[in-house]
Amino acid sequence: MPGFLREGMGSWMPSPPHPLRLPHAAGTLLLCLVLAQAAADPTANAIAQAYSLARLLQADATDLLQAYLSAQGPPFSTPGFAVPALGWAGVPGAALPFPSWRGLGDGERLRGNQVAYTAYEAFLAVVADDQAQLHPGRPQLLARLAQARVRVRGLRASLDTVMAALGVVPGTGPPPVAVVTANQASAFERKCRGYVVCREYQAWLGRTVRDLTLLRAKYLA
Amino acid sequence: MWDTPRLRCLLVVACLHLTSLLYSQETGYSEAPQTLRCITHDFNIMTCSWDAFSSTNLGQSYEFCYENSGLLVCNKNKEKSADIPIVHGSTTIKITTLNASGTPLATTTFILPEKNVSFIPLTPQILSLTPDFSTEMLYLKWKDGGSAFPFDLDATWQIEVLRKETLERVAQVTYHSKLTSKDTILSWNWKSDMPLECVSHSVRIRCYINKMNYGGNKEWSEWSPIVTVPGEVPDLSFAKVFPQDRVVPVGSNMTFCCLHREDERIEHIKYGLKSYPLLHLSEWSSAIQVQNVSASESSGTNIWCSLLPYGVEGTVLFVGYPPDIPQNLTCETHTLDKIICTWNPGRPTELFASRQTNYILSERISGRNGTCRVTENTMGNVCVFTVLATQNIYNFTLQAFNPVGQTESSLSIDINQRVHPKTPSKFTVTGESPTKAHVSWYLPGNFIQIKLLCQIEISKSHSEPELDNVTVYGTVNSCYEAQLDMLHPNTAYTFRVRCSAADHFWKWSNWSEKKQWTTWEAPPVRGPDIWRERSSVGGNVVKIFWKPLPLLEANGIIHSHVVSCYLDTAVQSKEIPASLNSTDIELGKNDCNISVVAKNGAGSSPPSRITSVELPSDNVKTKQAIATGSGIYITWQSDPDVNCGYTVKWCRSPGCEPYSVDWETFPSNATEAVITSALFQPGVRYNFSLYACKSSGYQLLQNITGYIQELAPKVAPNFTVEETSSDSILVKWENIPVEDCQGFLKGYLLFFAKGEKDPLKPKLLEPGHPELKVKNITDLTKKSLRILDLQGKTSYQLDLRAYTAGGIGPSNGLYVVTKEDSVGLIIAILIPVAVALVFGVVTSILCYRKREWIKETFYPDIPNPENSKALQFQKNICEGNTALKTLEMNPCTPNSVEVLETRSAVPKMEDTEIKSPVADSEPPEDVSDTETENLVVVSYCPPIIEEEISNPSVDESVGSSQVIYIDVQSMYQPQVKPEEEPEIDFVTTEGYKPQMHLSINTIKTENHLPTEEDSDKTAGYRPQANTNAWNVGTPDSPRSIESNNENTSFGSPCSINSRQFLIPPRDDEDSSKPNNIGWSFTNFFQNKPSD
Repeated sequence: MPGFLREGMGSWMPSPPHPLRLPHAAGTLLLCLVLAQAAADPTANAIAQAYSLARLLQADATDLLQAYLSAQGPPFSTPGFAVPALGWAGVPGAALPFPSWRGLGDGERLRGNQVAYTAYEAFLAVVADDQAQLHPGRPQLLARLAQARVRVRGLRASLDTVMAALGVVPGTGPPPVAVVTANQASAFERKCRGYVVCREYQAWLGRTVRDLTLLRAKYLA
Repeated sequence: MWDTPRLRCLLVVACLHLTSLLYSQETGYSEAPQTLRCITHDFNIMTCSWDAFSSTNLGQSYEFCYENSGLLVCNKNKEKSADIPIVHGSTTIKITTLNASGTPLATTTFILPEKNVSFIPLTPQILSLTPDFSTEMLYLKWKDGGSAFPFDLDATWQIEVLRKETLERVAQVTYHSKLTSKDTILSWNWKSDMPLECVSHSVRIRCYINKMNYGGNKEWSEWSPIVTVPGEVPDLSFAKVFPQDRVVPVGSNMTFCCLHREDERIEHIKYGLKSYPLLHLSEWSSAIQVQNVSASESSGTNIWCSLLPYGVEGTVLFVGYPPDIPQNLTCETHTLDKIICTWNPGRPTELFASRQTNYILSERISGRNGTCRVTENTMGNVCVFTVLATQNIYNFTLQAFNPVGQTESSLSIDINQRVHPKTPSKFTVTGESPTKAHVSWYLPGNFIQIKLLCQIEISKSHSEPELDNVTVYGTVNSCYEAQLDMLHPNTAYTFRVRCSAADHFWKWSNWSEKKQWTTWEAPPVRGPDIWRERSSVGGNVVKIFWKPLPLLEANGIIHSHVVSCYLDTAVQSKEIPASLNSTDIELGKNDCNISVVAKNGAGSSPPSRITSVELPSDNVKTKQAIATGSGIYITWQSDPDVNCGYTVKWCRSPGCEPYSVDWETFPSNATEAVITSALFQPGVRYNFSLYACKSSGYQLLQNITGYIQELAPKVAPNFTVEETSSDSILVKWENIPVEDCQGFLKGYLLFFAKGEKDPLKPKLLEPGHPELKVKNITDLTKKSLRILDLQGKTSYQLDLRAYTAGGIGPSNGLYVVTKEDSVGLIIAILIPVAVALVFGVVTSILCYRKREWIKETFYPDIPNPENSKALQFQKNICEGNTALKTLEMNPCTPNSVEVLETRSAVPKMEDTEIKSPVADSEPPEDVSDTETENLVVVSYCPPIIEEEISNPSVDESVGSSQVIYIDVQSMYQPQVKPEEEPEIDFVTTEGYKPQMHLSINTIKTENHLPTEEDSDKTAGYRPQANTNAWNVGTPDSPRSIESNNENTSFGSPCSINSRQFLIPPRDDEDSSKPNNIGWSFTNFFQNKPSD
């Protein structure tokens, strides 16, 4: 199984701000301020749009992961299934030590997102193909994967807009997913690969929301 | 591959035992050859070996001589073995040991029979052992070595499969072959029950050749060298689980192994959710075995190998069924250019995507294959085969296969008998005449070789569709047409068409789209039904009615009616628009023949005729018609003069407006009719008139009144109370209007019962009420009724209802109060008074007549002591008690005397120490002292009391310094209920009691002053003792014992007047008699016999 990676558990995963932690009145006021500022500042507007889209994808990614696992049979489909040690070569991992994450510059932060979602767009297509070959009788899961792919493309475009607004030079994309390697995987490897992609995709969206929250606070002020 | 020198040596060693059978002739020393052993590998040459001692081993050699074909052949050899040809029978072999210089040292001669030469095939060599990891198969190849034998032989091969490094045998099979004088490569394969990657597998073989006519031993060859297929060696980085992505049938037994690094160990291996015990295969491999696997879900069953310290690996197993035999394979053609085969795949295989069932349709005659399309929806499987121009018969075979099996189904068809045309299109309808239509449609396909049967459905509203079959010759992709006859004019039709093969019906095509078409109009078939009536006012106008023609007879839209009136010479005609169904013709007193013609767009109908002549009719009766289930039944007498039928005319509404006139005509021979109409309503009265049609005109025969269904009256009759007396009520009511009767009125029901107008109380007139009375008035001419036998001054509730055959109508209620009955009241008072008076008089007379007896019984002047229980002391008590002073005469000293002044007949009692309520009720005592009049001396002298006072030892509860008369009632009380109040206070009860208070009271009540005689009687003796203090029939009671003391003497009778005891003290005998408790009724009856 050349694609598998075994990862340690020592990395810190930035968690998105919990919406319920913000008092309602303060949240409303903040939202109003954001909108008012966003209307005036194209940079803030782009960040706000990217943030909203990331939040939407974050909610979808949770559902996607659950739907994916439930379709793979036990033990994937058992409640609480999680194998954090499972990884896959090429799938961008979101885990990053906090000081490193906090110390990222805007350009580095945004380029990291761009690279990650470029990879995820390709991997989501691979996962969709895998699932279509494994069990084509799950049209809902296939539709979710296709929808996630389209939305990732939208998020990429939105991030490009933010980068353009901030004057960040786009970085080089990730190496393309090796098609031969993808097709040679066994069924079990495909299932695991799909799990890793969906899991890390969800984690990356959390990191993106956190990144955009940071940028929003920075450029709204 | 036969390594001859080495094998020969081995065989020599293996045949040591033959030496014992050899005849040897030793001619030397220990260097002499001995123990000759001979074997053969090919039945041609045998290899012999022997033993010989060689002390120095310096150039020692052997001369080996044997006889071959009569010639002695000798060979020298340094080895202790030699090859010699096999001859039939025995072979004499002479072996001489030579030293280095060639000098014989010893010679041995052996006679070797053929049977002592063992046949041992050469050791086989494995050419190749090839694994197929995907199928877990081992493919073995080796040469049979047949070239060694110039003839055919049967060979048997034994193959062993060994597993693991320890070479555990897991399979041993026997393989048979035939050797055909040449070397042949044999092959054998074996399917492992464990993935070949899991552990190493090794194979070795040996053979046994069976030559039937060979006399010597035949033995197995040596095992071939082992050839091993090594298992998968785990990667340095990743573990693996085998087999990978395997597809197996349901019920298979599976083995899964997990390969891992040596620094890892397996925590568990799970099949789905279940963990299985681990089978240790090697340092880096363990396995689980799963028996009888069941069908997996669409994504397969996961086998999960969990490794420690961390890591997971796994594989997926797809378990399903082999394809079912295709069921209901059907092949047909729509257009005769392609054959389409469909089938039911049967049981689902539970295998999907690349593992699903695929199909191949092949035609055996032409050898061609069709094109199949398989969909996830199993009902969408279809194969298409192109029709061959020169072929009509097709033998199809449909093969179904998936990774776990394959099946097939066959079908042979004649293409011309499997024509299922497509749905006709471009369907059009055109008209030709009022009764004809032309239809055409398009049908794709090449039908030149066959005829088509097409079915045209002709449907119109409110009728069953008709089918018209048309046979047409087939063409190539063209339109077909047909003509439809016998249609009805001016009728909206709906057409559609479908087709099939005419000669060999297989299936109908689908129906084409529907087309609507309305045929052309035609003149009406007949004239309308007509009726006429002279107007009731004046009779100068004749009103003519006609009924609209039914659609089937109108043949079009009627836009007018032409009404003509033919007088002798003149014709009066007018055209009435279709919206009207009647018209008036002014005739005066004349009559005419009337004709009515209906006109539509295509022409006029034949005329309908009727005469206006009305024949006189006598004695026309009005009958009530019987309403049957289907209509109103009318009968009449047959009349021979009737030659143009009977007509029953009625009105559909009560007002009989022109538009509501209806009629029905019956033939001349009819004598009855049932008039039905959907417009008849229940509860509505209809009037029918029966006319006879004669040559000279119409004659009214009878009138009929009837209901299609009778209902209960709609309203209640109005009624009033005309008159009321103490025992009757006269009620009057009014008729109910005919329209409210809703049926023929049968009568009235008058309910009445006692009851007051109280809405809270339940209605009295409900059925089952006990006081409810009903009067049924069936005489409809009666409009009043008198209700009799009522009670005076009583409220009655009246309720009047009308009823018909359809039920009882609503009620109308009244409350009426009857007048008071004074005579009865008087009688009711007088009778009890009179009875009471008579009873009093009779009682008085009886008492007067029996006064002597009463007195003697109840109030004797001198009581008989023998009858007195007061004197019946207990014997045992009185005996020996000389101090008994019951009748002892003692001076009676009043305690106190109170003088009352009486100014009236009833003296008032003043305050006194002796409170004597009895004083007021003691007129006899007063009477006894009438001379003193104003003074009443109430005295009593219980000397015992004085003694009691003086004798403190006496029980204080008994003694009292005062004697108080109790009330007469209180005196009686203990006698009436002696048991209830036995503890009456002695202070108030002990002492004198008057004995005649009952009669005294009675006299007093009647204000009757006692006479002198009476006073004597009443003032007589009275027992003075407290009756409670006396023993009332219970001499043993404690009270009687207490009365045994000296104080008990106060109970002795004492005359008031004399104030002395009238009865002197008796001796003990007298005292032993039972006590008399006095004059109470109870004691009277209790003591009479013993006295």
